[in-house]
Amino acid sequence: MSVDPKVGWPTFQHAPLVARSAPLGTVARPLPLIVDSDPGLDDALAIAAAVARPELNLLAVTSVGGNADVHHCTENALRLLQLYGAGDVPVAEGAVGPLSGPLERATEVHGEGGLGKTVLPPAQRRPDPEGAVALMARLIAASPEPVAIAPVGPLTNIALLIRSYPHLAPKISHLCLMGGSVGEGNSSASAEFNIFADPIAAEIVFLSGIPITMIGLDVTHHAWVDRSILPRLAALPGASAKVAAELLTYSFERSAGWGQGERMAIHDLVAVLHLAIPDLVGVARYYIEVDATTGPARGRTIGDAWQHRLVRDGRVPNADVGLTIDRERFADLLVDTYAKLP
Amino acid sequence: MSAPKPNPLPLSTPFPPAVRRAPVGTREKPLPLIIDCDPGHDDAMAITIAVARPEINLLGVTTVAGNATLPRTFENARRVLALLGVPDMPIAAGADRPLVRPLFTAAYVHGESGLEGAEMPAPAGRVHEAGAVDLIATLVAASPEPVVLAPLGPLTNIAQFITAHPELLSKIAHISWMGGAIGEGNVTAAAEFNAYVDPEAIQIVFSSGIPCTMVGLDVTHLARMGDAEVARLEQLGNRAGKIFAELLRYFAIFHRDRYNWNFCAIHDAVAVAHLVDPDLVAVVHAAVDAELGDLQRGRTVVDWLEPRLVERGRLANADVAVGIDAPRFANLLIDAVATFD
Repeated sequence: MSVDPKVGWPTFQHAPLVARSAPLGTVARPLPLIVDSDPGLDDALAIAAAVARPELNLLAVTSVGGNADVHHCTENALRLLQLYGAGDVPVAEGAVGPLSGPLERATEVHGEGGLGKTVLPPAQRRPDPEGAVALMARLIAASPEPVAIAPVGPLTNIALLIRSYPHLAPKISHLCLMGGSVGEGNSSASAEFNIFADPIAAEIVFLSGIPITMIGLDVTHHAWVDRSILPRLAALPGASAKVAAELLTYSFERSAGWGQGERMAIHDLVAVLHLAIPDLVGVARYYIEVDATTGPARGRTIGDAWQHRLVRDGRVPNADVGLTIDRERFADLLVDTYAKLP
Repeated sequence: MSAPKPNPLPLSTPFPPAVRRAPVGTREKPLPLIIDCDPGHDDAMAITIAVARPEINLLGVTTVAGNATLPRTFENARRVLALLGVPDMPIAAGADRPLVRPLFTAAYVHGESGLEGAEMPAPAGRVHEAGAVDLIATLVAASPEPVVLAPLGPLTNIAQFITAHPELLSKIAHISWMGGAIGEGNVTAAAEFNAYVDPEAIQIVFSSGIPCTMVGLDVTHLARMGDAEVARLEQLGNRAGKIFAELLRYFAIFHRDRYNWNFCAIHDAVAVAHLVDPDLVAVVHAAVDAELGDLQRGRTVVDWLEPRLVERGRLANADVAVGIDAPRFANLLIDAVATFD
């Protein structure tokens, strides 16, 4: 067969790349940021960047059930921050499962405890007892300037925050979320894991009116690293880099076992870096609608960028969608992140 | 910032190479074929391939409401038969509406008549008054060998045939359908037109056990005829070439106004061309489901990832088109038109 499977996929009405609408932290003026996450292998690297990047001011890490059980995720967040020398960043535990529907876990990807086979030293503190949603609300209310949130797990906590504290919405500058896909999914042919795990929460978030950047599989599947990154991490002195190498090795072995080659897409890291690095990710404007029904395309983020249809249906784009990434620079930034950590 | 350019394939895994399962006709052993259609400019080109090519033995044509209402698609199909010089071709009208939903037509693409743009000859064809399902059943029952169906519109007639004639299903060799999309739809972001009009019919056809090929927008948007190709049709010097050039110039208006394209996509012809040329279309083996809810009505959910299919206990029972040799397709179309008066 000489025919090259190169198709007009996933969109034939190509949305042009446009200037980003997400805010950008600078060293002079770091962006106040909350990471809501379900660590998670790639979450571990995303949290590392949130700690290490001088353009970001990490206010808190909140946990949500997703890649692993929420208690594991909370403990992982505490241990990772301790490892990264950020033991003073508040951590609070969030939703144990989705607003509605079955519990989805990705322990086949991340291991039962969420961090593969890696065992970190137990955390020397307990999570903030007020819980994820109340902690986020308190920090946002207290912040002199609007706060950005990088939700890199199921959107349950964010939906609860939006519903419980609607008056705080204007103080959320941006939701830079890892989730969804205009094209192919991973949990199903239609849906990416974080959206599939809680489609109703995702629907609430995308209808909230809060500015959104969707860092979905369209871009994160291009944000991969392979074994060539391991010697670069090994050359770093810190313990954090050793752990990163261990987490990556675990996922390379796992993906090889699935016949997908020894590479890992570091999905969640892209969402955090996008808030610190101005020209890493190329975005286009889409109207994103979440399928929270129970059909075969449940959890799909339906993306429309075709002006004719948007006008016909009375819609305006509601999200930046990540489409392109400078992969080599992304790998460099990963190494650089760990160079900045103990 | 930068100019729009084709998105890279954001696939988690590349399409695994797959051997096509649709049969291919040969000169020695032409494929017995029934076309079910809703002409439609691109339907007319599809019928042209079927009549022109010695690899196809066209047994009959049935029509369905889709691009236009049933009386119009029926009349248009009969005019195409006249143009192609096959006045004795069996033809029947089928469903005048989808199985469940109200009819939605594409007058905005094909014009009010469904085949605007050229003066067509008077309708011809041997009309089978008992209707499309009965004509398909009659032709399939009478055929010594299994028959291929090429539905080029909403799948209403085919679903009704499958439901009404379980005893004949083993005599259907394959269904090569133009419809659906792996990626973006056209009527909505979720759905391609034929799929949008009658999604319930898709579910019946693709779960029938009959081997199916889905030729969707992912490749048919690459099956293009631009000004140069239309000029080549005109330069053929025959009546068919002149009329098809006029039809495609009308068809191009929609593509220019809506998509800002300087070519038109000859969607339906790909599903028929796939049956005569083994090297035209690349496929992937996949499971196909249709969205029946309102939100993504008519989205074709195409899953080709082996571990996911195993986990879901699904078989990759359909071929889905993922690539096309576009210049080869244009040449095939023009050569087909050249064989007529």
